[in-house]
Amino acid sequence: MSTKHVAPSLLHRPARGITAALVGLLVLVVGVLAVVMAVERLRTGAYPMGTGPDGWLGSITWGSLIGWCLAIGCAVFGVILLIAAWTPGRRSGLIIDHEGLPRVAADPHTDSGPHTSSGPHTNSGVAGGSRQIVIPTDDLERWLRRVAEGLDGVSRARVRAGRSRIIVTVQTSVADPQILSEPVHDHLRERVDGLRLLPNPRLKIRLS
Amino acid sequence: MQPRHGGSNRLLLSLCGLLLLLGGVAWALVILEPRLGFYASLGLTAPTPQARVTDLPLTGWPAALLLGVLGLLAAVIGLWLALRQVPSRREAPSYSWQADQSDGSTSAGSTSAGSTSAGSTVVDTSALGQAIADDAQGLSGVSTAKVLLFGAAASPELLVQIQIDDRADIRSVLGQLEQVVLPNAQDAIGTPLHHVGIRVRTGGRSDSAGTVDVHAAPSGVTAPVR
Repeated sequence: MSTKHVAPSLLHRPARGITAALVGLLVLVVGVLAVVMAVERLRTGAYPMGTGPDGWLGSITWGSLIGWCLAIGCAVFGVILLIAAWTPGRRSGLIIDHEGLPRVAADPHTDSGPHTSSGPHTNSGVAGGSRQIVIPTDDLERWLRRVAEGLDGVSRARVRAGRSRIIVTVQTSVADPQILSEPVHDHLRERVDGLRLLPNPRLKIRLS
Repeated sequence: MQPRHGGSNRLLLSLCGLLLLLGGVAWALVILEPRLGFYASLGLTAPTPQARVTDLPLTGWPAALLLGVLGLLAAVIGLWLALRQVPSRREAPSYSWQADQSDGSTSAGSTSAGSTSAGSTVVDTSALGQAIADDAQGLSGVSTAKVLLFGAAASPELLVQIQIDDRADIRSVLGQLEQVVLPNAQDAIGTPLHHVGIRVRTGGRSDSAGTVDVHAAPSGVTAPVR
């Protein structure tokens, strides 16, 4: 079975779309200003708003304070863009194992051509194709937080989920927080195990 | 569930970042040339720190023309870079099935010129997706569902987003989706699904959750309590 498909993957890292859009807008503004300057120079014979060789822009020297600021600004902005480009960022979600999911036994009778299903329990077999089941990291975190906050003795919880580890920070008003450690861990472990994430992350409970 | 330009964005940002970093360093080396003599060591002549940045070999209207052309180029590139970040939809607008004139059967796929089809059936994928989403929303524990279709009727691909109630068993809901909704969708399209992506959202509130049936002992009257 081919795994190549045209539908976009549900698992990805940040696309840096906002950074790229801001850079694009900045380049657009600079370009438009340059065009306006050129048109004004060709039309009237002088650059607009003192941007000519004798104006404020033309009088900037390489070693002036503005020159230093421009040099440092360019280098710093360049480093920021390189960091944005090379930092992988957080994965959008975690994979749920689809192997153990029950499937209906195949029915040899299959129709061809378009028709609509007549009800929720009338189908003719197993749905084919590859599967990608993903739970977004934010959703997993919020879900575990709500589950944790519903447990006895837990007043607040904060969850940070990664591919290999989930850290749950629990705030409690119990005099000895350690007595909550095991029940909270066991319950959350059970819920996480029930999802069958790939890989199954480790669970760490921090009590405060 | 939109396609993204992650790889190309990172490449473009790398190029811009590298150019700016090199430009900034080159500018600083011009200022420090009297002390470091970097350009002189390469056999190049650097402007003095007191020289104007705009002292270029080209002056007058040719310089303005060059500035205009470079500005126009920058504006086009900037506009392209900004506009490509706007989410674009890549899902198929419709699926079509052609009826074969010779035997009357239908075949899934896109219309081709010169075919012997006697007619065709075209279904808007948004309508088909809504029907599948309605089917998914009927599952216990699912509050909302959204379905997008990709590819063609001959090789259909589905992206399904379901929001599940916190108290529901997520794997049980996924099992129901696999057992009921996806085979129904496959039957409706008439071709085996090529790929299915399922995004599981949490925090939903389904109608079935929180409903308790209370049975009065002698009379057997049932009253839903929320």
